[in-house]
Amino acid sequence: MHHLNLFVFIAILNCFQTSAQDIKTYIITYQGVFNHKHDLDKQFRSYRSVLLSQQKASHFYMQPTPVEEGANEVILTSDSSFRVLKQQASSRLIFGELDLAGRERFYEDTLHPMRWSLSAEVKLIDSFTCRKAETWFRGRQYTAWYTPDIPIPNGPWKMGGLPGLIIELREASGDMHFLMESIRQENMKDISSTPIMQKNHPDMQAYIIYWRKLVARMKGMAAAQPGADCLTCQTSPSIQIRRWEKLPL
Amino acid sequence: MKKVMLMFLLATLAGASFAMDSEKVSDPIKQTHEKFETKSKVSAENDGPTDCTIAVRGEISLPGASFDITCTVTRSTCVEATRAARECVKAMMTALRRDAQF
Repeated sequence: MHHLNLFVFIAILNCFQTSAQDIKTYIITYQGVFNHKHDLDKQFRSYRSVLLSQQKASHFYMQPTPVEEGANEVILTSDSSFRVLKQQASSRLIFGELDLAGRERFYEDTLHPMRWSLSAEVKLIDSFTCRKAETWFRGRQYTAWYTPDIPIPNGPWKMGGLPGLIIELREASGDMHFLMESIRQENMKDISSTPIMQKNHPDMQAYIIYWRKLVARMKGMAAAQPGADCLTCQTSPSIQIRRWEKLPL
Repeated sequence: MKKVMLMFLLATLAGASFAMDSEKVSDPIKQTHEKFETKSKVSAENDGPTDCTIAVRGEISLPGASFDITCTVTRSTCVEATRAARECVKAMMTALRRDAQF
């Protein structure tokens, strides 16, 4: 009886160990720059971007490098942004976005919906022989340099679906640019088992509806600004919104 | 009509950090805090012997989107117009942040 108890205890312990077991993960880092002014102006910020890639899932996020504040500026920087989680088997892509209240909301998008145009052009980046691919995605043109030498069909942000890892990604105007810095292998927790992956999130249609409502509320808010109580007094507020991904709002 | 254009940066309107209540993510990713960048740019224009028009601009910058809010205000004095324009931008920004949580 004593032996049986010991056996059950070891079996249970083994179950826990298996569930918490770390799995092989490629840690790919990119040096990234992003223009925060979008199409209005140029104000680039540097990011250290990380792509954690496992066989079944991946997790990408961007960490801003410290920025010096101007005399009349307050910059409260998030410690990660442009978070994208992908699950290859179920063609799932979840992305996080900060709302105006500073809360990160998650939505489901399509995994690698962009249509790549593959080119025979070849470029050597560090020791990798890279091939060129181009695509239009949500109103912007991107050029990717991927290497078939690393058979990971993934890349920074929402980009991927090429026959090799994206080593360099550049948006046509240069407002978004990633260049791979390093790749190494470690054992990490299963990305598929993270709470974000375990939940269902609103889809892209819901995301577009949220943005449409937000834009409508903003316009209503601008129209509802009270005027002053003198004959020549005027108050004219206006709001302009610029988004990186150009969606039908 | 004498036209005077003054361009100068005003003090930052507001910036506050919010506690996050979003889901926990596995290591090594920390929880996300919001980032807002706000600044005001003022231009003043004398339209007549008494009126003064001031435009104040505020900006909220998020990684995936940015919002520009401009309030153009005409008052009998520039001091009054500046104050009213700043209040207008501030009110709009506060309302935007509050309203974004629907």
